[in-house]
Amino acid sequence: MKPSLPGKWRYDAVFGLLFLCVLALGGRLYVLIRQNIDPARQAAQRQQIMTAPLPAKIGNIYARTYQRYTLLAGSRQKAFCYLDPAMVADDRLADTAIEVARLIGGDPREIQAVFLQRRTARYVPLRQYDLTNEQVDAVRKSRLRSIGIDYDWEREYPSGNLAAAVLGFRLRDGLPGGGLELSQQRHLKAQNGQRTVLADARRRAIYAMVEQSRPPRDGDSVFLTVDANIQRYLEDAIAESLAKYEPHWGAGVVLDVNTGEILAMHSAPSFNPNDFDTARADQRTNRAVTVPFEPGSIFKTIIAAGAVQTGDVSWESKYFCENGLYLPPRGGKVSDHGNRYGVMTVADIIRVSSNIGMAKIGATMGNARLYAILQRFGIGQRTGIDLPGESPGMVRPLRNWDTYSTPRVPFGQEVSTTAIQMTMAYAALSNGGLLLKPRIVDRIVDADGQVVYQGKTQVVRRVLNPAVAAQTVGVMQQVVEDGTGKACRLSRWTSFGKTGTAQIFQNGQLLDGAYTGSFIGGAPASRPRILCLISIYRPVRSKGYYGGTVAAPYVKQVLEKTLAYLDVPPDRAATLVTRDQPGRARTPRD
Amino acid sequence: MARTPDNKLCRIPLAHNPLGQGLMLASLALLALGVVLVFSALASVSSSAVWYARTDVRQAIFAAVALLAMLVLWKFDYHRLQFDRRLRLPAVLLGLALVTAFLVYVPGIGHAVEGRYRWIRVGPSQYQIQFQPSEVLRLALVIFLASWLTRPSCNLRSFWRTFVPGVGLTMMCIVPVIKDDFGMSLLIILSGLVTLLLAGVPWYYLASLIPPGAAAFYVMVISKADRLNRMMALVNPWDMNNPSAYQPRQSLLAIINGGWTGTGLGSGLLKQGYLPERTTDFIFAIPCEELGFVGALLLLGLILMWIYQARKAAVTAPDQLGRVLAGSLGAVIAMQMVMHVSVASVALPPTGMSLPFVSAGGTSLVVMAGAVAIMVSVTASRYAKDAATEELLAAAPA
Repeated sequence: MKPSLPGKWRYDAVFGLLFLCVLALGGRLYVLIRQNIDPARQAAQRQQIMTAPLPAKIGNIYARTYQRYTLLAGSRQKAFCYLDPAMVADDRLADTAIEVARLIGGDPREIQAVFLQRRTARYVPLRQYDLTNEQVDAVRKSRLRSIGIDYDWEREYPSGNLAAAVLGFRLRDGLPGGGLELSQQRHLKAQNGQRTVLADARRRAIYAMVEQSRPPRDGDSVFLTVDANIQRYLEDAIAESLAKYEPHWGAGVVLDVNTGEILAMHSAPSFNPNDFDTARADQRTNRAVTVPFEPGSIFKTIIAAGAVQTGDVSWESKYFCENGLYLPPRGGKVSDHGNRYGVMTVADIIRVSSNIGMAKIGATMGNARLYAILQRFGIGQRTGIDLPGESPGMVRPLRNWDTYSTPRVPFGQEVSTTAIQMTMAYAALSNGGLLLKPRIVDRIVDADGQVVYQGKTQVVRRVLNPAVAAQTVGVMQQVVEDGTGKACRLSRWTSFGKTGTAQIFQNGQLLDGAYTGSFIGGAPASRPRILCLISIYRPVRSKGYYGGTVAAPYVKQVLEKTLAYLDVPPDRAATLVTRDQPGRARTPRD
Repeated sequence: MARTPDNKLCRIPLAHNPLGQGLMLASLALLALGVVLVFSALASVSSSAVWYARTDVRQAIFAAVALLAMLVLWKFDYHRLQFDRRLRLPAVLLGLALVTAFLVYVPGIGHAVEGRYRWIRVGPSQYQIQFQPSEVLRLALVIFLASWLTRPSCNLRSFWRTFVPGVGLTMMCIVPVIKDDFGMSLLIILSGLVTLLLAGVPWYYLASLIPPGAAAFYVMVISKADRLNRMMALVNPWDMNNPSAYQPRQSLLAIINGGWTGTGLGSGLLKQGYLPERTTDFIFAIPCEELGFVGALLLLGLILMWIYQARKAAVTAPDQLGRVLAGSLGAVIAMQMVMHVSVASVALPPTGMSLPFVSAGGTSLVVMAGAVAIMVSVTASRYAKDAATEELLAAAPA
């Protein structure tokens, strides 16, 4: 028999209460898990997950070079150091600052200031110190816990200012600042990766969370149609002209007339993209596509060819050139700059570059058909080149044309075009009549070597039939052989071209003594392959300003070097090199 | 049936004592679980070259010691703790415990963690034995009160001769602890009062303590910013500006991160430095996260089983001493379990309260084992003339 002791209720009460408490706590756990499941999980994740960017590399830009490629813009992995101030004990602060300063060659006071200001930070990058490899090794070996090495990508232009106007530049934060860097940004851009790590409370990694991590995706590489050597020829030639005639600026384009590939493009004065911030804004622009100017006489060939194509005029049609002064009806005054020409064929009008002859062709055609020619050749329209900020030039709408326009548009006034526009129009004249879309990006290859874009020749429209085009080249060949463009006569190749000297029209009036001297020339004339335009804007007048003077010799220089470089077979026998023959009329000027 | 001269108390072997076995097994299960959880909680800490410096290794060793202590100590008759013997063992125990409790403030012996003196450390460096006297003091107080209140001459109903000295003794015991261990002080007070209650002191005496006790508690809490912060942490554990809310918040995150089925044993995240007291005051958060709600329920079930058996040990005890001893020891330990789980699940403000048998700490393990041994010893005591006992003894080999 069990003894019955008093006060069993006390035990029942105390233990029962404890029992109930345990049951209630079980219920509390249930409620906690049931209620807070998502927000608290996120809070836990937030404190435990650590992410660090894995910098990806921006794509490279390459130029063609004889059977190889030249790196124009690339990214270099650059080491920089970072401080970990939290790892320094208070009493070691000064000593550590001195030690760190010794390692990276800085000022101990500055380092100490960083330590003090960011006392509890774990990562303070010091990108302002350029570290040599030896310094990086020294930091690594130092076993100091308060300094570390990290890497970043830095944009670099190893070829200096070669093709700078085309390339553009990148700001210090890696954003594109112009040129191809801007227009190709969607291909070049790098997608930074992310390393996601599960971290303990001291922010030490426990393990990497592979599923939440992302590898960096490097940008695609862009291969240009620009050839580094041809680019150099063009830049050298323009530089010479700039040095000699001291213009405000010069721009040039070298084009493969059959494919529409830009072989070189330059705008001077230029800049070095590595130091873009020391350059003026106008130096950084690519004037060959962004700045429209009145083309002047280089426009004549286009109108003449267009007129011949319509059938209203033939190369043999004769016009009386009024002995140097022409007063078109309600059209002001047109002169031939001191030259007095009589009756001439259209071909001769182009050869000697007669304004009066062109004005009369304009009268034959009438405004509407002149306008149509402009439209067909893409004048006043963007070419659609892959470069930012292209100007469409300016062609006024037909309803605003008046009797002043009729004689003047044919010799390149009242319209403005860009260098690239003129070059593409001339390409149509010289390649058998096809207006092409200019190409500067040849190929885009992604980080895995897969070609993601392959450019090909794009025909915009046929503007001339091949016969007319061939005749036009013949006429332009005469310009070089026996006209205003003799300075562009090549020794081993036949060439063709047209000079242009335009007065600069600014703020509603012609600037006194301000001209744009241009020359556009191509070779070989027997089978046109390349075309080169150089425009020299506002040279010092006393030093020379005619297109045949300030541009043509330099176009010749570019053409000769380029043809040799491209192994284009010479089509002119060496014996045919001619000198100016005596007894001829004096060299007509533009 | 009262004790008669011819009906002596006798002791039955453990093999025939299912209640004693149950208590031991439940405690043992908690001990084993504790070794595993401490090991898991410390998985992020790099192993030390000195084996003794590893808390998880020490925990395994002390669990073995505790098991040994349980198996040996239960054989001692709990009547040695009776008050009318000449030695008055409980008084000696309590006296020693009290003196030791003051030693934590002696320089060279006392050891502080975060400025709180709670431990005594002796021995050569690296192999020091660390010891928390307040753990011993609390159980010594319970044992003393149980034995003192069950002495034949005790008048339980006397306010001045029983209640006041009992409460006074309890208050004396918190003197060495109150400065640096508020939680333990509370636990000691509650232990003393529970013992008084279970021994049979009129309940209204105890109830009369509630108003002054509550007032004192209130004053204690608002007198110190840290304590107030802890109370506020209970109200809003998500307050990032409350430094005391950090641990409860991390504990909640552990519970919720674990969810229903847990992240898997060993793969918890909060133990990676986020939960500072992961092996002691918040160890319950570890099974919550790693074993999930299911695992936590199993652990709570184990605790329930333990409480159930402790109560049964008390109500089936053959005499008043056994009953009060088993009951108050069981209630005190169970209370600590409940409080620990409450703190970990943010039902009580954070106080340093370990989970008996599970939390890391050698002193606690051994002392708890001793308490269980006393309870088992109570369950092993039967009246020889009981029919059930007689049958048992007859069946047992001599």
